[in-house]
This record gives sequence, C-alpha cells and structure tokens, in this order.
Amino acid sequence: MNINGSISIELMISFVIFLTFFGWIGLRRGAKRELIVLLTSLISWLILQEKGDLLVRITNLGGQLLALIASGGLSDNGTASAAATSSTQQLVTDTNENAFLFFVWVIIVIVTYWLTNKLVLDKDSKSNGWAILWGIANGLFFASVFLPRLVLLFLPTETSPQQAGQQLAQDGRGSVMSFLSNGFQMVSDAISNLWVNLGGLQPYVLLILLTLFLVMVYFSIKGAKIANLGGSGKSKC
Amino acid sequence: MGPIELLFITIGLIVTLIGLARGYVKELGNTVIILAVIFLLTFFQEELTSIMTKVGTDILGLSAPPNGFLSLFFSGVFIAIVFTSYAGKTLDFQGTPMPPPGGWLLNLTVGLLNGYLIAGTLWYYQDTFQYPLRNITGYQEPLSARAQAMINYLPPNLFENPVYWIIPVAVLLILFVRK
Repeated sequence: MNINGSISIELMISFVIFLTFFGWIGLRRGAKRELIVLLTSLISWLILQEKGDLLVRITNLGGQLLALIASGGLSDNGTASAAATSSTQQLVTDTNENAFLFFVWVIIVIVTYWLTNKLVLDKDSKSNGWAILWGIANGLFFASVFLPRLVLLFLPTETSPQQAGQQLAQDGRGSVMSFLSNGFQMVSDAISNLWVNLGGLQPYVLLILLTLFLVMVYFSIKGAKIANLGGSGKSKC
Repeated sequence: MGPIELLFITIGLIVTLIGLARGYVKELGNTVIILAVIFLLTFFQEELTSIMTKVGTDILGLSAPPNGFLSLFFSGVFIAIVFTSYAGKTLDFQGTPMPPPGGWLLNLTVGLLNGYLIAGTLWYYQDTFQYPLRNITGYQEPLSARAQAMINYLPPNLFENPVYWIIPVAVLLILFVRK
C-alpha cells in the first residue's frame, strides 16, 4: 500500500490515536475486564456467525408462541390458534437476519462491559501492560466489525453492510490483519520518509534516541543500583 | 540475502536470545561495557592499527598489510572484553525489572541492541580489513546491495565522531551513581 502526502499523515495519526484510545480504555478498566470482554465478544461473534440460524429459529418460534398465547390458543380447541400462529409473520426473516444477529452481538458486548464493571473488582483487574494489550485487541476486533458498517455512512444508501464488507474484502481489506498491516505499513513509510528527510542529522537523532532509550530502561528498573563494579573472576551468567 | 549478512544476523539473534534469557537488568551492564569498548577501539583505531601493523610485519614477519592479524586483534580484544562483561562481575546492575509484558519487551529490545552492537562490530572489523577470514565468514564478492547498505549502519560507522558513543555511557553512569 502506498499512500502519498498529507493523507498518509492523517491516516497514520488516526491509526495511532485509535490504538491509543482503546489501549487507554483497557488501562482504565484493567486486564481481567478487558480479557473477558475480548473473549466474550470474539466467541459470541463466531458462534453467531456459525450457528446464528439456530437463534433465528428459536426467536421465530418464540414469536409464534407469543402469537399463540395472544390469540388465546392455550385454551381453545386448536383451530383458531393454528390459524393465528400460521399467519404470524416471522420476527426474523432472511432480509433482517444479519441485522438481528448483529443486534444480539452488540447487546452481548454491552452487557459484558456492564457486568465486568459491576462484578469484577478493581483489585482483580490490574491496570498493567496486559490491560493495554487486551484493550488494543478489543479495539482492533471492533474495528473489523464496525468499520464496514460505518463506511455505509459515506457510501450510496443501497449498499448493505455485507456489500460494504465485500468491497473491503475484495482486496483483502476489512480484516483485522489487513487493518494492522496497512496501519503499520503507514507508520513504517512515515518513519522512512522522516529518516530520509533528516539527512545529516541522522547520527544525532540516533544518539538521542539511544540515550533516551537507555534512560527509559534505567527508570523502568525499581531500586536500580550498581551492585558491583570490578572483577571477581567468578562466572555469573 | 547473502551469506555474510546471514552470518552476522545469526550472531546478533543468538546474542538477543541470551539477552532474553538473562533479562534486561543484567544486560544493561553489558550494554554499557560494549558501548565503552566500541568507543575505545574506534577512537584509537588508527593508532592501534599502526602499532599492530608494525608488530605483525616486523615481529611476526607477516606481509603488509597484515589484514588477517589486524582483524583478529581487534575482534579478539572486542570479544575478550565482551566475554568478560558477560562472565564476570564487571558492571552488575541490580533492581526489580518491569513486570511482563513490558519487561519482556525490554528484554527483547535490550537483547536486540546488544546483538546489533556485538555482531555489527565484528562485521565492521571484517569489512575494514577486507574479509581476511573469508573462508570462515563465507564472504563472496561482490557484497549484496543489502549488505552494502547495512555496512553503513554498523556501530563503528554510525557516528563520524566515536566520542558520541561515550555520551549514553556517561549519562547512565551518572544516573546510577547519583543515588
């Protein structure tokens, strides 16, 4: 992928902000909560994609049962109730099946977020590097799910989320891997361009970066000290 | 990718693995030593080359220029000091490292840095003295374009003034000693 000029900077900033935002959410909520949300949203998505028709049938049966009850079918001789249930329009049809399953998945995710906030204690969900990672993972997964739908806001109204997703998928876009790889490619292209533009300043930038990196490593060590300065001849690997 | 860059990338990766196993707190001491050695050998390279050339030609009777001897001398001194820093308690840093995954990332990064410094410096001395050990290093003329590009970024070639290498060393030592 090769995008030129200021657009690549905007995309790179957007990509970084997007990852940072979800990483920050993960840090706020803690590792355990984010991991539960990630696993729940992933597994529920997969189940709904593979076995969603089962839920659709159960929902439609439920609708027919409600229609039966509403028509008093539990108490009559069956003829009127049979007519009522057979004439009942299905709650979930072929045309709105995907929307229904997506709605169910969104509800599962929202409930999971709410439940993890309520039931998982702060002390059990530590704000550490794992929390940031799981938060970013959630962001990437949600991007792959929501982006094809959000793209509809900018596409002709007759395009469905499936068609938007297919348009993205034609060139391998729209998947988590392509989102990640394109994003990191952008960052890498921006760094390469910046590096070339630095010209004669490159060694100084490297020196500053190396020094800052070593200082950062030093500050990451708690109670850092030099325990020994000098040779003792004893091997200690 | 040619054999020469494969060899030194492999050496770098092995050093990285050692760094991953030891942890970045211990590796930091080695990093300081390696940076100091690179500074010393690069700063005094001309003088040392002149002296060792005389030793090689006048004392050992080698034909001028004694590239093999010089590359062995510089590589040998470098390896000996690096080995001592790994094997002995020359600069032993202590403290509690960052917990994972940040700690793992730092282990990997510091390990990669040390791998680059060690493998890159060894490659530099082979390249400076025109690959006298080509039977061992697998050097084939001409070098690939990738190898030629990588040579510009070998540690002793990185800064025009080798004094720059001592700056991060000095900063780190000041930070540690001020406590």
